[in-house]
Parts: sequence; C-alpha cells; structure tokens
Amino acid sequence: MISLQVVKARSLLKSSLSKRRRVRSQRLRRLLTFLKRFSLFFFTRPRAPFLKSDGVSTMRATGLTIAISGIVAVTIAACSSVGSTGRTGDLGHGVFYYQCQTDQDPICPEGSTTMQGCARTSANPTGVQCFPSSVAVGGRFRIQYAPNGSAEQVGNPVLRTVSGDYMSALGDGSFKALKTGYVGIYSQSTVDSTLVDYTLVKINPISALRISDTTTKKAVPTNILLTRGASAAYKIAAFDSNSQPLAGAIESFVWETSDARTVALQDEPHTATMHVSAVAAGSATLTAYADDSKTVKATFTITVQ
Amino acid sequence: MMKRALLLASFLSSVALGGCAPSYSHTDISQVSTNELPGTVTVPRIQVTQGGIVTAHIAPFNSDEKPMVGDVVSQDRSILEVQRAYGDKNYAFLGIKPGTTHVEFRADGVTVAIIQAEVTAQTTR
Repeated sequence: MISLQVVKARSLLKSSLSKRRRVRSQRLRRLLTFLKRFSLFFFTRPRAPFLKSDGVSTMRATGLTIAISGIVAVTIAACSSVGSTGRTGDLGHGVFYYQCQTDQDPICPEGSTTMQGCARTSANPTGVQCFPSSVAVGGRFRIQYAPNGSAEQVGNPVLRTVSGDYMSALGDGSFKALKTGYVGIYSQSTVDSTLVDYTLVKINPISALRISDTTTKKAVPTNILLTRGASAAYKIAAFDSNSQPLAGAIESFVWETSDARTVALQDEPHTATMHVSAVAAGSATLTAYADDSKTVKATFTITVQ
Repeated sequence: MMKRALLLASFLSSVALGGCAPSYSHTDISQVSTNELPGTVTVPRIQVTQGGIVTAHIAPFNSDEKPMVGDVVSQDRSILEVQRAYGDKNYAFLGIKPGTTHVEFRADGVTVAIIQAEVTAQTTR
C-alpha cells in the first residue's frame, strides 16, 4: 500500500515537473514571438507620423526603435547561442553538444568546457561546426543532447554508444574512444525508449603532438631560456594525420625530462599540462609522448641561466 | 438432420466471412537516413556497418491497403539491434558487431517476413 502511494507520488511529481518545463518553454516562445512582432512593427510601420512631428519626437522615436531592436537582437542571440554550439543530429530532432570533461582535453581552452571559438560570431555565424571533427583514440569527453521542438515527450534523453568495440559509455553522458573508426552516439527517450536522434563521431589515432606555453598560448620554440628558480607550464595538443586537432582528454600522455636536476617536472608524468621549474643552471630536453609506446613525440630544450 | 444442416451452414458462412476479411498484403520500406558508414534496409537484405545506424520507415499494409500494426525484431541483438525511432513506424538498425542474423517483420503480431541481416566491419579509411 505504502509502495503504491510512493509510486503515485513519484508519477505526480514527474508529471508536474514536465508540465513546468512545458510551461517554461511556452513562455519563452511567446516572449520571443512578441519581441519579434514588436520589432517588425517598428521596422515596417510608416514613418510619416514621426516626420510630421517636431525633431525631438522623431529623435525619441528613432532612439526607442534602436533600443527595442537592440533588446530583441540580444534576446534572440542569447537564446539561439544555446543551440548554435553543437551539431544537429542526423534525424534533425535536436543538437548534440561536445563538452571537455577536464583540463586534459586540449580542444578546449584552459578552465573551459567548450571548444575555443565556438561563440556565435560574424566569422562563425552559424556555429554549427563547433563539434570536434574527430576525437583521439583513448580520449574521454562528454556529450549532451537537447531535443528541439520537433521531438515532443522524449523526457530527458539518455545517451548511448552503438558499439562498445569503438567507444565505451562511462555514464552521465561521458564516453571514451577506444578504436580508430566511426561510431554512432544516440539519444534515447526516457519516456518510451525510442531512439530520438544520433550523430557519428570519428575516432583517429594521434599522429603528431604540439607543445604550447600556457601563458603565451603559442607553440614553444625548439629552445627556451628560463632563469634559475623560475617556473613555467606547457600543454600538449594532439593532431591526426591531416594536422587536424584531436579532441578528448588523454590520460596516456607522458612527459620526461632529460635532467631533473636542471629542469624538474612538478606534476605526475601522465598529464596534458605540465608545470616545470628551473632548478639549476644548464640545459635539459623535455619530451612529451602520446603514450607509453613512445612512438609519437614532441621535444624542446630548456636552458636555465 | 436439421441440426447437421445448420452446422454446415454456419461452418460455410464462417469460412466465407473469414475469406473476405482483409489479410496481410505487403510492407512498404523507405530508408530515412544514411551517413558516412554505408548501410541499407531493403526487403531482400539489411546491411549495417559496425558502429553505424541506419533508420527506415517500415509500414505493413493489409489487402485493403489499410495500415497494420507493425514491429521489427532482430533475432540476435548482440549483432544487430533494432529500436523504434522517433516518429510513426520508424526503426533504427544499430550495427553492434560484425556477423549475420535475421530480422523479423511483423504485422498485427504475426511474422510476415524474415530477412537476412549482416553487420559488416568498418574498412580502414
């Protein structure tokens, strides 16, 4: 009896939550429609009455029009930017968003979970390309899915991978790429388990590494000068055979110093970002490897003065 | 004698009525999506690449050209998984691992076709 009441209470809570979500989205749509109509009215209405009035009224009216247009533009941009930084699913029912899980993912700037340059700009007006073209073998990342208006009553879709040979699902939208190739990630309705949408993710092996200075954000030259006692941080970025950046947090990176008495590594060696300290005068070569096989690497020398 | 005649008449009428009832006629299949990984869903054969998804609209009809309640079931879900996709009578075919199996097309709960299905390995690109 008690369990029946608990089930009833849960279903009531679920339905009230989904109702709230629907009401919220309806309100937002109504607001957008109102603002669009309002701006259209000001843009298309005849200007004659303003022109007939005195100069002050004309200026006030023009100012009001500009202000309202500004508000409308900002509102529309803010709302659409949510859907502009992902990739539309192959079935067109929503958008898949890529998220860097940790700072170990070189595709995102430090401290950010989204890719660099994904904000809607004049150079990138649609922003739809803001989903990595490929992820590295061994890379971990998170995907989120947001259904659009064409998909109703799908609940909060869960994300799954088609083949565990290519990608493992770690739960909560997290995945780990395992093998070179393509693999589908699909969203599944939590209401009736239907497949709502999907996207293919390309997985590539790491073919090249580049090291950049985390302060200057520029690629490190072959030789760097550091004063004794100074410290610096360097970050590895992974690339495929076409020099395209690879996404995914890589745990297999390995750092080595040729002389720890001259340049010491301050972090554990399996990291994308390495902090180093200049201990004593001399020079040491820093080498970053893609993994323990040490076949793909990048090196540079630090001279301590 | 009268009883026998009545029984025969009722049997004949039930046979006649049964014969007039619409039965399964055909299944319409139209592929909805394709992508970088090749895949096809047709009546003679279903082919999906491992890791890939192919969606198709599969609708059975009876002899009166009226839609029937359809279902599509994979005989080996560890090779090929079939899921209902968003939209009426849409199905998604998921290539789990390379191998062959069969897919059953059902109309009003009755299996009307068994189709050979293959999940192929990805070719190195």
